Order: sequence, then structure tokens, then C-alpha cells
Amino acid sequence: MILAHDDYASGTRFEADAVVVGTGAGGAPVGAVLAEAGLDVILVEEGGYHRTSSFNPYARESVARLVRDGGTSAIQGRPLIPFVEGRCVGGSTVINGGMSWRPPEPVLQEWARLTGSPEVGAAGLEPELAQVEADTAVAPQLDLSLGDDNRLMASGAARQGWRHDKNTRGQYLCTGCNNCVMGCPTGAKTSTLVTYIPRALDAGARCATEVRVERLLIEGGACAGVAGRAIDPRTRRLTHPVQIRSRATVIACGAVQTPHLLLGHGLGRPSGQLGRNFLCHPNAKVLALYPQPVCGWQGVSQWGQVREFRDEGILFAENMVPPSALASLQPFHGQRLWSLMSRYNHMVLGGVLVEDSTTGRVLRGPLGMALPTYQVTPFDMHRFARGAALMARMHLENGASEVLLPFAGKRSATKVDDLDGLERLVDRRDDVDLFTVHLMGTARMGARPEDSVTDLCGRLWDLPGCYVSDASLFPTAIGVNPQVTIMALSLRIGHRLADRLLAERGA
Amino acid sequence: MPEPAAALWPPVPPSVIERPPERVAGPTPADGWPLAEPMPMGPDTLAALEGLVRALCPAPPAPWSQDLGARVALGARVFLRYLPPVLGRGFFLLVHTGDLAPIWRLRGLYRLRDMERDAADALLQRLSHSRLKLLRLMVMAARAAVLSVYYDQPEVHDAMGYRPLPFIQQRADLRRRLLDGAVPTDADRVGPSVEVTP
Repeated sequence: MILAHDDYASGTRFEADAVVVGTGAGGAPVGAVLAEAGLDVILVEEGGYHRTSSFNPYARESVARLVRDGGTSAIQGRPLIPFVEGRCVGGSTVINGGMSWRPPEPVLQEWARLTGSPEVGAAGLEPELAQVEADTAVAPQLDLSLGDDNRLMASGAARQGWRHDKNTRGQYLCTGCNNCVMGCPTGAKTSTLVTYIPRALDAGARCATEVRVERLLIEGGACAGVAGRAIDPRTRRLTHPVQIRSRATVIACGAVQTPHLLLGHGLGRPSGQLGRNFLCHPNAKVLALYPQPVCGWQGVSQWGQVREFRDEGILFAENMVPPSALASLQPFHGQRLWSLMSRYNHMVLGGVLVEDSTTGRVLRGPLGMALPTYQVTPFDMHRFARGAALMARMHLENGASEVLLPFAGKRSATKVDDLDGLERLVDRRDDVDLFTVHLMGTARMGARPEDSVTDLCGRLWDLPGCYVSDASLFPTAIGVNPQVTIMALSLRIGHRLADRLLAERGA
Repeated sequence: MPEPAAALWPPVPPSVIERPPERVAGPTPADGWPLAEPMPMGPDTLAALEGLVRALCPAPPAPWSQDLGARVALGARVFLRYLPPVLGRGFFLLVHTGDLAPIWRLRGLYRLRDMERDAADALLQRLSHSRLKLLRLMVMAARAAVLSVYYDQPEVHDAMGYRPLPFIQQRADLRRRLLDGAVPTDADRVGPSVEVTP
């Protein structure tokens, strides 16, 4: 059953075995597991429920409906880093590219070392990772879905002799309509909207949409549920109070909103780590213009990744976005922007993704807003300059007539020699345009309360009955798209929580 | 390729995209979840916003008309509803600050809305390079709010040769055929691209 704003009366109160706040990669799997175990589950989502058939390529509707704060969120620091999070049933899995990579083995070895537990090592997580891959039909793309931008990235990498790996994506018979970031209109992308959410609903779970959770209910030192208010979709104002009482509360709001909610209660005290260890895989965009039409909007988003520089923490991928998103991020407007955008069909947009070398922090900002902060390091700036120069060179030597760069001090190159001196820009951190969608690490799990926020099952050390299930749990950055890892942890938390709740019910 | 569990996917994939542009443009889509109403604005703020829209959007031969400008301003007002309330209100301040830019930049006693389009465009471009981060952010926010709507309009898409709906519809139909057991042919491949004639 899906509930929306008009279903709530003033003072609406629900009761359940478990409440799961968030319906994305962290919330939906745990919700499905709990519901299928026979428990009474309520999933709470701040956004609305939108069917696959309602997805379309128009940003003025899709971004408003599917993305938190209309896509205006930004990490504060030098430079400012815009980011997007999903706000709809399915969360960010509805608006991501569906890239499904397992966490690299060295990362999991490091997690096992940091936590002192093999449970989060490669062998320990293997059953859940395999289950996620089966549940979301992880596979490479059908060749028929490849577009010219995919082909140009692959041929450019081949010309340079670089390693280019085909992405594995959570999709089934994706035909490459390239609307991933505004919701998959064919149902091929296996977001939680079409996988774990239907499973949870089929098993009897309720999904309370258009509810913003504002606080936890804490009674007798334990979590007893959540309280919030319904959101009127016409005015976006908070209206009726809604309260959900539960035996277990799972917070799965992502690495920014989860610590924001928990910090409001002064939690995370044993280690002081709540909100710290904020990781975000920042990336810079490089836009290549080819003389021939490319129509990058036709064909799958991110067929492959250039992994030649993986050891340096640098990945490249093509990632075309709709004109509205591309235009709004450019550092100019008017006729100059039109001159660029009128060549939209000749563009290949690529991302230079850099693995974090530092961490930031999420704080409770003024007026009830989350305040993520992050300072890009000189080492990262070197890697952005190196990555952007390499990708630009690849395109220019592959036939591009011009490449637009993400540096205010150097916006364009038409020949390889123009790329000389990019390294000199690395001292000007405010002058690089970055972006991110991978937010992680602000409620790190661990084996000891002295250095972590939750245990290895996501249970808060200092609030019984409250669990975290999202990318906040990551002890370190993973260097690849995090969806599979989040879902694997979510399944594990779901199974262990189900065992506990069923045992309590039996007792 | 593993077969997914049947229960996980809708038994019949959608073959019709329910949101053609004429339905997206309305303030209340008919899929049960309405878009927010436009943020109310007084006539002076609205005139200032329309001046900002005119300064940021390209002049002909790019698509431009009074009606298009009004739709962009309307779209920006809907967009404001989705911001955190404090930022939504901050946008009002931004609109008036931008409108008064000629005065506080000591260009003269007139407002942005009264300037020639090219001159207004150039003034905002200079502000975007200001040494004051706040001013740079102000222009960035105005661009995001206005240009994301302008570059989302059907006539702008047409002029760019970007026609996503027929393409999405064709790929949705193809997926339905594949799910029904059809074997793909070379004709089902994407591209190679040809220039789409506006």
C-alpha cells in the first residue's frame, strides 16, 4: 500500500515492527527482507511515488519530482561541489546510471583490517554481493544499446592503449534510451522502484510517501520510531504531523541526511565520528566537440570506464546529460551558451572521477539544513588536472575539434599543445568545476564504539533500536559506484534485524 | 544473462510514455502527483525576474518570444518551490539584487530590466567573474534557475536537433519486443548518428 499526502489526517499515527526511513539502495532492500520475513514494515519516503510510465526527459518536471531541492544541493568548501540525491520512491537509484560494480577487493581488505572483522572482507560480503547482483540483474549492456559517444570513448581509449572495461549495470534488456538520470522510462534499469520496493509491497509493507522525518522518538533511552510532517505537493509546505512507532528504526537517508537527522539528537558521542569521514568521489566534466554528429543522448549512459589510471584513483566514463542540466552548469550564458548548446548533437561528455584523498564533514547547519563540508586537496587538484588533460588529449587525438575543460583559468583546447600548463592551475581550488553523486562515510561502522558510529550490523552504539543502512556506513571510499555495496550491506542488516525481531516476537 | 524473477518487474513494460511535452508543461500533471504551484510574486519582482530571464537567455536567431520568456519565468517560479524555503526566499533577494546591478555597479540610474539585452547579458557575465564569491554564486544560481528551464522547452530542443521522446518511445517498443522473445537485428542498434534537421 502506498500512502500520499492526502491520506494523512492531522495527528496520523502508525505502528509497525520496523520503520525504514528512505527507499533507495540502503532502505528498500532492508525493507523487502523484513517484510518477506513476515514483519510489519513501513517505508517512509520524503518524495512521491512515480510510476515508470511517468518518467520523461523534461527536467522542469523530472528534476522537481525526483531530485532533492531541485538539484541545488552543494557541498561547502573550496571549491563548492554541487551534488544530487534522489527524493522519490526508489531514491537515488531512480536517477543514477545503474552502474553496478563490486567494491574492489583491496578496499574490502582494508575494511576488514580497520574493523578487525572478516565479516566486511571480500569473502564475508560475498553472499550479499552475489544476491544483489541476482536481484538487480547485473550484467553488461546489450551491444544494440551502444551510442556513438560510447563508441568514441572506447575507440579513444584503444588509440591510447588504455584499459577500457565494459560497465556492469543493474538492468534487464536495456535498449539505451539514455534517460537514466530522469528515471528509466522503459523499466529496464533495476532501480529499487522496480525491484525491492515491489517485493516489499507484495509482502505487505506500507510505503508512506511525502513525509519528511524530522526527529526520532526516543523513550527510555531507546529508539521507539520517528516523527515528521507530511508535505503538501502543491505548496511544498509541511502540514500534518505524522508519527510512526516501531520496535526497530532503520535510517537510510544517505550520507548527508542520515547524520543530519542523528546529530539532531546528539548521537554518535562515544567516538565523535558521526558526520565525520565524509567522502564524495568528486568528479570533473570534460566536454568534447566532434565535427560529426554524435547524438550522445542516444545510447546507454556509461557503457564503459577507462580504468587505465585506477591505481592513481582516477576513472573516466562518458555520461551524457540532458541539455537543461548541461546548460545550467556552464560558466556562461546568453548567445555564447547558445553557440555551444546548438552543437549539442556533436558533444561527448565525460567525467574524470577521483577517489577521495581526504574527508569532509556533515554538520547541522542553520535553519535546520544539513551542511556538508569538504576541502579538495592539492593532491586531488593534481589528479583533476592530470585526468582532464589525459581525457582531453584522448578526444583531440580521436578527432574532436575542441575540448572544454573544467578550469576557469583554461576553458578550452583545440590541440594537444593547448593542454600544456594545466598543472599550473592546481593552486586555484576555487577555479575548478566539480560535481558529485557518490556520498559516503558519515556514520562509519566498526567493531568498537571508540572509533565508529555503528556496529557491523548498522546498529547505533548509543541508541538501542536504531540502525543505519546506507553509504554512511562505509569506513573508507570505495573508488567505484557504490550502489551494489550499499545494497549488500542493506540485505545483511535486513536479515540480521529480521532474525532479532522474529526472535523477540517468539519470546 | 540471468532471467530476473518475474515478480520483480512489471509484467508488461510501458509502451507509451505518458508525459508528452504538452502535458509536462501544465502545472498539474495527471499522474496523481502534481507539480507545485508557482511561487507567488508581486508585479515588481516578476518584472525583475523577467528582466533576468531576458538577460540570460539567448536572443534570436536562438528560439525566443515573449511567450517563451513568460514560460521560463513561470518554470523558474515552480522550481523555487522545491528549494529549501530559505533558499527560495533568498532567490527573491537575488532577483532584486540582479535587477539593481546597474545602480550598485555605478553604471547609471536604471535597472537591469531597462537595459538593452546585450548590455544586460554582458553585465551579468562580468558579475560572474567578480572577485566576490557571493556575486559569482548569485549569477550561478540565477543561471541554474533560468537556463535549466529555457533549455528544457520543446522549441529549444527542436532548434538543437534534440528530439528525445520519439527516440525513447522507439527504444521502449524495442524492449517490449525483446521481452516478447524477438531476436534483435542490426536495425535495432543505436546510430550511427545522422544530423537531425530542425
